Amino acid sequence: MSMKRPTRRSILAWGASSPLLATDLARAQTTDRQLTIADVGAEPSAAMRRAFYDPFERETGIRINAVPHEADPVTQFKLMVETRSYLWDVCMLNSAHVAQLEAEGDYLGRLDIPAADTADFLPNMVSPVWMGFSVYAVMMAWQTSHFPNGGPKDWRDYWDVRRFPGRRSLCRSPTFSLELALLADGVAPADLYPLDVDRAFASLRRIKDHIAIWWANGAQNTFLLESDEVDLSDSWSARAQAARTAGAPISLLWNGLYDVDGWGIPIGSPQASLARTFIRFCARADRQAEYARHIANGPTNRRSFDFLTPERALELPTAPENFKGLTGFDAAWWGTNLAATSERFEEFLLE
Amino acid sequence: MMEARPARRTERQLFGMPLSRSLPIAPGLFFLAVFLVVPLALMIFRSLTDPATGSMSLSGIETLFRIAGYRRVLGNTLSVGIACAILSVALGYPVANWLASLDERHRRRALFLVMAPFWTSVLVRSFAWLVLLGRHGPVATFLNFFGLPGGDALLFNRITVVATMVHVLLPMAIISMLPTHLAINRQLLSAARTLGGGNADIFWRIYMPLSLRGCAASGLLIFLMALGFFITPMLLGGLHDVLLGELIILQIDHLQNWHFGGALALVIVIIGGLAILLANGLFDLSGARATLPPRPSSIAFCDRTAQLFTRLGRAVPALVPGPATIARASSIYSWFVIVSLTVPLLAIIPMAFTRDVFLTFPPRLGTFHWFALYFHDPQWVAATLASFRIGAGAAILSVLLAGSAAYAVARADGRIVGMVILLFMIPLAVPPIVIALALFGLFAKMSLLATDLAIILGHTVICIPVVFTILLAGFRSYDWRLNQAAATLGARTGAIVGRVAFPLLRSVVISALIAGFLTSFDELTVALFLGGGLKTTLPKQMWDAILLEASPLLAAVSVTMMIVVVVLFLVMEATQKNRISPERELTLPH
Repeated sequence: MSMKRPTRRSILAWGASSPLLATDLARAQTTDRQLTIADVGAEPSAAMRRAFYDPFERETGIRINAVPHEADPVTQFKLMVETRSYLWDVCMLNSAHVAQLEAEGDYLGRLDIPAADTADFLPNMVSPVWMGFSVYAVMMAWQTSHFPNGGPKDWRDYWDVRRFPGRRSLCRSPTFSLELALLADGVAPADLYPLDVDRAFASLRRIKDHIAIWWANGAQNTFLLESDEVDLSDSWSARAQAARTAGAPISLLWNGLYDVDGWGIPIGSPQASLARTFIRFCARADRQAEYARHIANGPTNRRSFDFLTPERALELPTAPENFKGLTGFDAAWWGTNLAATSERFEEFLLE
Repeated sequence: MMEARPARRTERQLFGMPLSRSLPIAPGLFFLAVFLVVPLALMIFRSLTDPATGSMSLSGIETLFRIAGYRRVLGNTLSVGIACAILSVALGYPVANWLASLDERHRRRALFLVMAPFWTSVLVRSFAWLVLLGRHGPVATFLNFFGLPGGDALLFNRITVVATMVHVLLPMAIISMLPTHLAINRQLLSAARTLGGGNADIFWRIYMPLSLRGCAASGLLIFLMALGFFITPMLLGGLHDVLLGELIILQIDHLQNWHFGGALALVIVIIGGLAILLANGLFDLSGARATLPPRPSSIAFCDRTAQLFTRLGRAVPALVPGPATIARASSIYSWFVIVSLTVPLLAIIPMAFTRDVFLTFPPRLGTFHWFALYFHDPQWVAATLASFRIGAGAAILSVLLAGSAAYAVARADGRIVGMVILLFMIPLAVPPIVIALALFGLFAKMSLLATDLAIILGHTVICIPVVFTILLAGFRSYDWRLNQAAATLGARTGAIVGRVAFPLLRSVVISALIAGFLTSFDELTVALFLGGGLKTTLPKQMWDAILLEASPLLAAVSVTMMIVVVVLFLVMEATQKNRISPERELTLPH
């Protein structure tokens, strides 16, 4: 309820400063159009429904039809552009997806967001074809009761099976796991990229036999933490936070990496201009704050914290206290190295 | 059964039958050619073509054999497949035997109990196992209570993977062995007894040789099905239990490596083909008409075993149970199997009413919240409706295609018939994951991806063998002379079909429709690939949910699916009750 006033004020201010948007809105309202948005589904989708989709519908009359996409939407995205069957108008992509799509050809349409809209954004959260709105951290979670004398303080401790015994799980994916392995091996966060792949695998080799479960998907990760199936694990901030909120007695360590989810549009989409309108809507500080209220992902717009309580801010990756322990994920490096490294990672695991 | 009406000799021949008789077979075969054989050929071609240069290349298969890790996956797949086949057949054999000894009505009910677990989503069952076998789950608690070790290591190992896969496959093993057991003339057994044969002799010299081919065929089927498994090992296995199916999903879904993914699918097809050839060589499956004797080697094996057991029985008379004891033991054992198949699924039901926000057992009961969430979520509702739509489409299409073929085959005879039956069984030999992958390539070219039609066509391929088998059995038991009788009495073709044939065959057609519907309703892989992530069926939506957040909502959805299965079964049961068997019809006094 308290959100109503700022919302209206800002949309008016924003509409006035942007003739493009005003015409878009007018056209949209007269033709009763709808946007199909592919997102990651489940809880994030529910949060986006409340923070972005519903308010956008209310303010513009444009209906938002949200569909969930695969964990990795790149295949579908490419297929859609190649077959020119634009089933999605807007697609939720993380920085790795964007890097992959950019490396493989022209798949992403330009967004043309005015610089003023993203003036308060954290660095590296926007590109000409993509706008980040949700930051997640890859961090550590451990069962509080399992370590009564204090849990691990960094990834070196996670690798230290003697000082911190317990059942461990780690993500079955080279992205992030290699970075964590290097952090555990003593590499300074600033020196992570370009990754020393050999050193990372050497480090992983030391911990491999102590990993009971290589989790393959987010739900499994949450489930393992909630059901106390493992004592310590890597996790994603929103998932770990959700497990905590649900009553799982776990502690979080804001030490690791962060990556960004954002919006992109398929190139050549007939709905591109409407899609851009929606994406600009998601740049707003109040909208991002509302999103971060429902799911523990960090807003990219720094002004969003003006709308959030200090308690909630502490649970979000982009709050300054938490953000300083996190290192940005280098999607560009992964864009060129993903295929080879994935193959090596898979072969390493199956050895 | 052949009709007495003489065929005109001048008529053109197709499949060794007059054209008018064999024409109904053509649409089904054409369908399988277009939607199974052609896409498989395309997929094989693609997996043998270097993606960069476009020239012939075996690099995908070479990678599989060069890298030790992948070789081990291949080994895992073979050993898990063989273990599943042997265990399923061994555990299912007494149950099939017991089912064959029941009267028809009891058999139908017992069969439902055997088959109900089979129609319950593999996804949900895997998650139920995660809950039940977790280190704080009920089984671990039970073990801890009695001071037994191992409660914390029930998950993520080979034994769990094989056991849970057998749990999924056992109903299929039982139902595929049942026709063989039913076909065995039980009078042979009493004849043998009259002639002084002992239990061991009767079982190993008569019953076993007669049922051996059925066992082999069932084992082969289970092995082929196990080859494509990926959900169970993915959720319940450790790093040492990765199977080929998982690798395909990984290569395609995460790494977009179609070349290697296709090569892995090709390897599955090759292994399947070799397994079929091997089983056929050993057990002569293609001549699987009970009229041909089994091969001497298997007879010799049975003979030796019979001698061994007879000698053992003479040495220790206490080891020889009487027929009544055997009957009782087999009934107790069969009920034990049915209960073990059902109980883990029943554990899902209370989880749907939990007040916790995650899946736990035992749950804190007392809310319909998860059902409300399910029925109010537009995505779930849309997925449910799509599943009903697609299930109905696939059921109708497969009944039309398989039905017309079964109609022709049921009235024909000869070697060609065996060939046609085998052709309609081909989809069983190809794991759904391979069918899905192959169709993906074809439909991408036809711009059919992400349509209901694509999924319906894919599901129809998978449904055809099931529906064909049911319809063929039904049509064969129908007395086609009734049609002639009606014709003699002046009925026109329309009246014969509408008033004689259909009323008698209605229950068979309904059973086939329901089986087709349920096959589609529970199918994930085809929807996963052909839906392109845009068209969502219920299993696909559940898969997404399981990957994103495994909440009790899943249990609520599963319970709803179980209700659908039970309701459909009751419908089937009701039509069976009203069914007038042809024999009774003929003996009615009027």
